[in-house]
Amino acid sequence: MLNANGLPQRALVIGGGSDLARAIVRELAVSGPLERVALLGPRRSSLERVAAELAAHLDACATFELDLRAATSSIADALAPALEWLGGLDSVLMAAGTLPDQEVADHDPRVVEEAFQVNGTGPAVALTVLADHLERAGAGQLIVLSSVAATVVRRRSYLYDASKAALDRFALGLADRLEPAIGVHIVRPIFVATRMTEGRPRPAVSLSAEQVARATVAGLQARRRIIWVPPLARPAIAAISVLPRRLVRRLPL
Amino acid sequence: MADHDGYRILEGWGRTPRSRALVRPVATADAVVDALRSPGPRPRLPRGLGRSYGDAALAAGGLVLDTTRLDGPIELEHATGVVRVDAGTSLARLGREVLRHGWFLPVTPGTKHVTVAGAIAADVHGKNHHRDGSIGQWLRRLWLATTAGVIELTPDDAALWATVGGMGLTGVIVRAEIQLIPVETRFVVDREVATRSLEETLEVLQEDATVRYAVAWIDATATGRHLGRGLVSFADHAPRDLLPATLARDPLELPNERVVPTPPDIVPTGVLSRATIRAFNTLWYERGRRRPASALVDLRTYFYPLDRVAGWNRLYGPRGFIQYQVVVPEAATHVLRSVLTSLAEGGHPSFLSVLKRFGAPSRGIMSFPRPWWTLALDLPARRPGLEALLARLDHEVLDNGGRIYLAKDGRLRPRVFRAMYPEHEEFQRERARLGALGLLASDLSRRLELD
Repeated sequence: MLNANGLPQRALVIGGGSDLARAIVRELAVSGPLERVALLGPRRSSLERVAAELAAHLDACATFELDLRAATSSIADALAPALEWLGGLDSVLMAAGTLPDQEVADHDPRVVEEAFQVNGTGPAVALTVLADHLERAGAGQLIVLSSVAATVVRRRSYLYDASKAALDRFALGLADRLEPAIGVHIVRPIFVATRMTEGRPRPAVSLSAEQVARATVAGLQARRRIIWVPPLARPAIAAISVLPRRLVRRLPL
Repeated sequence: MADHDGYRILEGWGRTPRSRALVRPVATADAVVDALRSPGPRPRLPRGLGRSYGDAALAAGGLVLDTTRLDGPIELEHATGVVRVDAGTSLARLGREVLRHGWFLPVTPGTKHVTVAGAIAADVHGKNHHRDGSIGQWLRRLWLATTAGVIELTPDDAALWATVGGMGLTGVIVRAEIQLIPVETRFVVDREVATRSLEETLEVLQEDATVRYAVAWIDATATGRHLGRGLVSFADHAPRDLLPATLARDPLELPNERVVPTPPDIVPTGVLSRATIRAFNTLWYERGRRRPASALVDLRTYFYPLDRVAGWNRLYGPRGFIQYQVVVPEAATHVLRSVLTSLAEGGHPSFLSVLKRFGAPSRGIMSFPRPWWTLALDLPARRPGLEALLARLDHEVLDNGGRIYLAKDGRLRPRVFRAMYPEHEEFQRERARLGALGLLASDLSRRLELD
């Protein structure tokens, strides 16, 4: 169950091999009562590595293969054994994501398709199954890792931005449907230095996965629906969104 | 917040956590048995007036039986003060009705807005625990609804002692027979002593042997040499001949209560901030120090000061609050000090803090009270760092032979709970015998992995 401080005992993590997932699970386990975690993702090796790192902080951690590019029915099927192993579900962490190379994507529709599958449709399909599960259970929380990118479209990464926007909007709708019995928390960080963003030009201000993890846990405790990291990202985005488009497309965002 | 289909969002008095369940009112014992036997969502759980602080009266996804309509006529034996009362009757109504005939509740918690069944299920204690024990001690008979029907229990039955303090997990209490205590008036004589440190507060509190009620309010925001300063109150029911002529005419009739209306549900998170909590505690302490040492106080004012503000729990804003109540053995006063210091220094000031000495252990298998010191603190919930700090304090309490009160709890962890309450195994056996396992459960029992 979620405790009186809004923190879970059992969590299901999609994109469990990611740096952000590892950091958030670790924060929930170290400062909260989290003790049983199912990690799901496409690569067994990344999952095992994260599970090994988290082992010291958890009672039990198991890994399950899940490919969000797969057909709808196989995504639903892949969730079942994880749910059964958990025995109860307090928290869902949606941390799956891919950062496509926009220059390649500009000319390769397959990259476009895959980005939407991993960032948009796949998560939406999985969240639909899990939201139903939580709704029947009558309690719990959904944590969806979005991005400030979901709120602004940039010339040099519009595929990523658009696919994240799809997930972000979908999660907002879920929040309208599920709250207040189920907490829905949409995390919108600025650039985070992780393996996903490795090799990309790093902006002047960036975050560590641990910073995002701390902000996420504080935000869900505060019952915040949208968690901007850092909080100043919110007015910054608001400012950008009122600028004329012909100016925005030239900004070095 | 009722959905079209009878589902409702339920919260405890601390307003966190919350969950959604199907809520069905039950007005008779037969209706309770039928509801327990009926098909439909599980688990099942009785709920009274919802004054437990955490998740004891929540059953996410299940069927919650609202027992507050189980409140038929109160049967009082005028000569002996034995009362038979339906389980959904509030202590407010019971106390008012029996007072007219010169009787009063043998044990009462800090609010009168609890049901008789809720009081028994939590085995509540009052300011007189050091000499009168908890409510279970005054129980003569209990009627418990199970899937097998309504069974009558006496203090010779193990099932009664599983139900006393059993948090509603053994069956649904539908009726109880309780021994009341005689009183001559609706007043208590309250004597207050201001103390300057924790040592002094503990020392003064020990002088409780000759009074019925003894409790200390603590200024939990005071630190350093003032840590644990407070106001110790000693009180007894006022005899009739002590009343001035103006009050002696109708000494057993409670006047209508004036209640400050519920604050709107838009109180922002910051109203009870570190600064306002500190200011309130300092003011209260200084005011208390200047009050006359002894006074005649109305029962309601004395026992239920917070009932004057309906819905005062909303003052904590949307994040709610946690009541952290521990009991530790006589020698473990360093744990009290550690709890007060850690929370004050960690930036988690307690708005309202109470310290008291418990008497002999209560008899319920899962009853909370046992010797010696009990400390209760109200903390704004869901603040960064609070959970980790309380988890550390849980261990300190456990390592020193103490434990946490389940009626207040919304966050204790399964392993720590099992060590604090080794009696849980016996409790589970009684639940199995009563057919309650697999049927009755709460968010609390599932969080603690009893279910």
